[in-house]
Amino acid sequence: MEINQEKQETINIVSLKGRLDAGTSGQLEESLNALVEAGEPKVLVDCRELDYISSAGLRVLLAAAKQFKKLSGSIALSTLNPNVKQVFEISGFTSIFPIYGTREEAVEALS
Amino acid sequence: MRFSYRNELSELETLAQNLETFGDENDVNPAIIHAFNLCLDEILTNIISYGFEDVTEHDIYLEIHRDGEMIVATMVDNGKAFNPLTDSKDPDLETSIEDREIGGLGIFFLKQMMDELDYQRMEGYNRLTMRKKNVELPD
Repeated sequence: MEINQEKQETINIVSLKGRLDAGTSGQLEESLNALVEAGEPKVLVDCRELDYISSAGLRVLLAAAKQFKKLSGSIALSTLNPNVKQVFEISGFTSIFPIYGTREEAVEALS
Repeated sequence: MRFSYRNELSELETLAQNLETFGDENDVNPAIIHAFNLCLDEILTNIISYGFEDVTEHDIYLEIHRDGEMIVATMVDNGKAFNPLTDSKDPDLETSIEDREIGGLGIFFLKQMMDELDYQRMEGYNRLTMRKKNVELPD
């Protein structure tokens, strides 16, 4: 999995590419923990190039969401492919995370 | 088709590639292959993470075939006895972020996505079989 990070105004955008499973989820955990530690409260996880997610990936996102909540911050997701979206729906994660159709909509909502 | 995996998490990538090959060769709907990939990934992750108390190398076996309309996959390991049908509690999907527990989702996926699950413990081996009907793609 590849992780790219950039900052747009106050929003940290973390773009994921590839497969988020138990073998790769540690990388995302490190990136998100670093943002929590830096006190950065607004994060968008861009999933446009994310092919696959398992419960290990959901676990990292949920743990991060709990941390951001403590910072009174927010974490949002954008552009989930149908497989990834299905996993979010079965897990009930669509009601935990704000999910947007495009990165632009997500950035606007977080601003 | 038969495949085997070492007890290392990097094997999850190999599993995904193997299932893609199986799907292509047997004309299986990609959405069904995704369901098998997710469910087999969750089981393989559990086996690798919790199945063995020693640190030596172990092999985990997958047999997958198409039986008419049905896709049938069996994963076999000689780790600790674990019956996913009875040894795992379903997550509460309705709770808030703060109260939502981390975990229990993997096995829940199997129960939600597969048509049939069958577990046996035999001669020191866990044997989990999952079945799901293929969905024909329009021509």
